Amino acid sequence: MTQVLKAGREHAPGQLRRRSFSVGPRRRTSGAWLPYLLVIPILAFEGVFVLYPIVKGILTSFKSQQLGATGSFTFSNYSRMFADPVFWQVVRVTLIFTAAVVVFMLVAGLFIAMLLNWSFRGRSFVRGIMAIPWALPDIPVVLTFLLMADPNFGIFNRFASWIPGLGHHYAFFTSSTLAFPSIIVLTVWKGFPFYALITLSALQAVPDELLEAARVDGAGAIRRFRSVVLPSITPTLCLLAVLAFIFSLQQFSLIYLTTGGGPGNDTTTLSIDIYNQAFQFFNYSYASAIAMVGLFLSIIGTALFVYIERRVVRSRS
Amino acid sequence: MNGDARNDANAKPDPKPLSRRNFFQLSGGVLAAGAGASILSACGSSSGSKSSSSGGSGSSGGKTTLTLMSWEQFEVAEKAAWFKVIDEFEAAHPNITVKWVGWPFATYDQNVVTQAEAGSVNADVVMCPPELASALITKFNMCVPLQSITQDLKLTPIPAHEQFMNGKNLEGLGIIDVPFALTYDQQLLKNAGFAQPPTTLDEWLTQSEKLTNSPNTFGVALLNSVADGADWWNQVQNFPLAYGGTWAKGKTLTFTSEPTINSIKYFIELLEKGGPKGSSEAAITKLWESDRIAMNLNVAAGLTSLKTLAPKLYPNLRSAPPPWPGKKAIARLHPAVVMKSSKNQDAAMELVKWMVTPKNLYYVTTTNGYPIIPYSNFGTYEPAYAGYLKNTPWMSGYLETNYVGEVDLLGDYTTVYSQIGLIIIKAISSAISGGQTVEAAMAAAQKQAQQELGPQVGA
Repeated sequence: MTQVLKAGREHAPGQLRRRSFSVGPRRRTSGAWLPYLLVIPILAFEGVFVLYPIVKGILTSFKSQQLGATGSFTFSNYSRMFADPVFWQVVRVTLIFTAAVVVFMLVAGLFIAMLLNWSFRGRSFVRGIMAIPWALPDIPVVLTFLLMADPNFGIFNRFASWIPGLGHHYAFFTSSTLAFPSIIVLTVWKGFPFYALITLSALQAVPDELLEAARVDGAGAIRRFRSVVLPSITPTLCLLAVLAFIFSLQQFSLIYLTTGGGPGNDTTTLSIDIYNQAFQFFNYSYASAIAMVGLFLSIIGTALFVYIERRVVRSRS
Repeated sequence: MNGDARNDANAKPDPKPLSRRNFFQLSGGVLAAGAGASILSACGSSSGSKSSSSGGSGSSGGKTTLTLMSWEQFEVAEKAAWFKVIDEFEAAHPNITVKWVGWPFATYDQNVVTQAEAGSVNADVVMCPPELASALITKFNMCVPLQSITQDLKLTPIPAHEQFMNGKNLEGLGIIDVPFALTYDQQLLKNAGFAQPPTTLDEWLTQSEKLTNSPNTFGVALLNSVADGADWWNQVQNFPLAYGGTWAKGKTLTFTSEPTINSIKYFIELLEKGGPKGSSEAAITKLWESDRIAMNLNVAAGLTSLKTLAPKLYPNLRSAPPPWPGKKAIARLHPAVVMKSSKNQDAAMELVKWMVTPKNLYYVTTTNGYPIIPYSNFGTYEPAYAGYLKNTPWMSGYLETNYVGEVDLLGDYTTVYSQIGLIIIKAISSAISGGQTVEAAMAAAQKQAQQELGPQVGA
């Protein structure tokens, strides 16, 4: 190995001469700025469209201003937020929603991916139609779900009426007990194909030799899954967990269009609350303060998943 | 295949290498174009489907461009009449062109208020829902007096115009009046054995219950989902009138007053006995238009569109005053205002004058089916108006209803109309779903409204 590396670093005399001739001091100096110049557009883009809004949001959250007016530095938005029981309810709803969506999304994705990893006739067709929920735009999906879940004539209630012991007037999106689970189900249904397809590609990358060796050693299906498959796809699952966490924390359209955050504040997540505060109540500073909590949760959650992934990878190696 | 592709590529002559200078020129050009497009798209507001000019507000070459901000250009059933009136204005004033800007109604208020919060509204003339007009006139103090127009035209504004007074000045002139009344399908009522629509709260409850055979038919169309926000609030805000209650008096909130609590309890009982509880607005509208809901506490605007949308319902469509003492309901008077920031105020006032000129107002009203023209002496100038009212079968209930303005129900909180509405409908939704009692929900809502909105109205 060392010899190979050494050989790689050594050059034939002619090559060395050519290299030293073509990359002289003048040329090296004139080309040194090129990489920096090339990253300027992306840095400018990130600075203007990502960094500036974040910094502006942080500054706004410390001001008692209306849009367009200047205000003095204050902690009042944060003190009001932390003293507001509605805010804590919103945080609780957000965390439970996010946790539930991440877990169900990954479990559903993994389960479907394992099914699709089997060889069967029409597998390509099934993979294709499975992606439909994810590919559909939110608004038609919501309109269709609202009709299907209608408590008076929706198909879900028709199905429910066929099950002994169940009623047939469940208000899935307006009942205080059903609205929250309903938006979780809808969000998972809408997003799971993406997670299933990524997990499927990870499953297909698991070396057959490893599985074969485990089988030869007498490992059953569950043991092969636990000891070979799962460790192999863990980095992918960790990445998907980060994505699911961020997407569900930001989820807005499905919740806003189905429940509007109600009944009461039962389905009001941070995204809905930020929208209401900014664009219904026009409390931009207070909305910015709530947005900072969202940003903080995103950073903490992402860091946690990255930490877990690194630990898993380290323990494996 | 990859090999073939590689071979094909190799077979082509080498293109001229891109020099560093060319590369930077190209990237600079792309970036500049991108930045320009971003800035342009950020500066522009959403234009309607019709724009008489691509230019902004202002004057050039002796021609004045007026910017008219509205939601009407997005209203399928109403826009044609407005376009005709504005086209005629342009024809009569060759030195003025009108550019339509704005957003659909659902997001109109918040977009205009966002501009107002930022310092100015980018229009010369703004068509407003009543609460938006109140905010622009009194909260932001952005409008100019318009009483000279009514004086010139010798029109007497109806009392609901009080909402648009700023001191002694009238700064909004009504162009669309959107009144509520109880609309109903007379055939469905007759089939159920009711010769007349309800006239009392008890009758309304009884009739609604009897007319309900879920999921086939329902007694009354009542919105009840927070997701339907603004429209639910528009409808439910009427209910305190049933018990002589209000949502606020002046700067004092009255959510927890006995009449208001009783009215919400009545709403919930009516919904449970005779309404499509849990259904979305889209589903309720479809049920109403397909003749499966008998009654609807409904605004008049847009009823003429039922002629084509609901051909089975429209011939049987009738109206009655709300079935409660006093027969009161809200009339949402939508005015036009002229912005102080306009550089073409004279032309802008000329446009508003054109819009409220009896001939034009009559044309728009009768074409679009807004039954009440908000000038009490209007009939003097347009004799055909009386005939129109008499010959429109669904009109009588709207004419018998005693109308109040939002200010009568919301006091000083009219300027935060949609905000207070969101708080109230969330509380009612909580009570409907059984999460809280009506009393507890409304007490919490009143506390929240006091904290969040009180400072904005000086309470």
